[in-house]
Amino acid sequence: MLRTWICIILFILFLIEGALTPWLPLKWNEGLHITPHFTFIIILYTCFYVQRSFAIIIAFLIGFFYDIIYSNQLFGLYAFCLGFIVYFISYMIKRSYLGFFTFTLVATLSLFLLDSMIYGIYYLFKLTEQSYIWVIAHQVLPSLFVNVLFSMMLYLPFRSLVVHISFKQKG
Amino acid sequence: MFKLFGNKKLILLLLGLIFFTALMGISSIEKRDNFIWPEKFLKDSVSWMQGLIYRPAGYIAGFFENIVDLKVIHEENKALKLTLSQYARDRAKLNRLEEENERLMEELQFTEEQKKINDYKFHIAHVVSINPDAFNDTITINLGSEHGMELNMLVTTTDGLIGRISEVTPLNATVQLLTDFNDQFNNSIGISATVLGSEESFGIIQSYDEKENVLIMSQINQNDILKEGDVIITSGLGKLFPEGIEVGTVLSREVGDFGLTHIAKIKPAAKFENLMEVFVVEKPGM
Repeated sequence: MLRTWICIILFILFLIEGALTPWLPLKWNEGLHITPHFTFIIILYTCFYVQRSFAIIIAFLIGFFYDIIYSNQLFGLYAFCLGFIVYFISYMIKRSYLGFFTFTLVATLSLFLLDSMIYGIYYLFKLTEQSYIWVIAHQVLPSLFVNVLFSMMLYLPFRSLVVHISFKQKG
Repeated sequence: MFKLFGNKKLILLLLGLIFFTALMGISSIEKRDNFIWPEKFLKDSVSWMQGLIYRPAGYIAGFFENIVDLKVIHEENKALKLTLSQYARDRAKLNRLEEENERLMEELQFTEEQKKINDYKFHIAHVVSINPDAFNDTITINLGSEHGMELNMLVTTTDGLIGRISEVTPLNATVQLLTDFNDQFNNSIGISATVLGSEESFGIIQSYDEKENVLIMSQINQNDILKEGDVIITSGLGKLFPEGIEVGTVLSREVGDFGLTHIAKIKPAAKFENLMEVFVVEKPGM
């Protein structure tokens, strides 16, 4: 039940990322590029509050979904990055049910890692010529700000969803 | 050594690493343009759903923007009226020229094909989604191969050129924006361009400078008359792209990398943000 809900939420957020976020007044400066990672945040929540193995599997699946729908220059990039980072984070942090601040910290760290990794792979394949410093200033940090804000906003709704559904299943 | 191979997780991880590196490596070599049917189905259905969100969201965002812009509207209206009167004048001139052109074509015994070569069709298309990825500036539009879209058709807004079609599925097409152009990459393509009013100029628009937000036009001859402030249009040389579509204005001209040719920095005429409707230019006989 909970898993179905998570999949539905992920799909809606996936649609929103491509169709709604260009319209949101997120940009406070012309040259910035904000990459929404809303699905990734849901996957992180799933990893720490629902089940780790399930989170890794949906990270791969959503990653492949990105690769198929947007067909970027590198096929498999998102599947690799999302899957690897969720695996890595869940391997490093063994504790479940993190508090608000710990979770935000973990989310910040992994979002930074994700954007850096995507840049790193593009750079490795010589598909971008920007310097890392420029990318951090114009893409990674602005996206990080928006995404962390989103993850903080989602903390209470997601936890109440988890509690509500698992309570329903028991009773 | 023995223990390493006994560790199942590690082997799985390594295999995954090799698999993905190979996958990305292969896909980076060549861009596919024919998709298998599940891919087409997924792309089209997701794009359809995104289209349901994108346009209403755009209208709502535009509504709030309009309230902010209300002050500017009066002055804008004045400027538009002025352009409108000019437009009417140009229209009369154009009609006369067109008639004359037709007459001359008859006299010179042009074939039907030759007559139609500059008769471009403009298909209006709605944007359904924008790629969130930072290193791939592409948008999806709601016209596909069913509507006659083909690879490498140019896409414009009312202001000017914004990109070319890089992928086609039955109901949707992906447009690679000019901001994604780079002569170093294998998915990129050069568009031959010239100066409005002096068509002997020649240059190729191949790259976009993200730091300065300008297009780079390269391969310009040293003796070329192109100068600052000139309006750049597509030249149609090479017969792949249509001609006469506005690209932008020249900001500066300088000596290129090897000193043999010049490059020019071009400010794009079109804006690449908040796109709603775009036009796909269909070339007859393509």
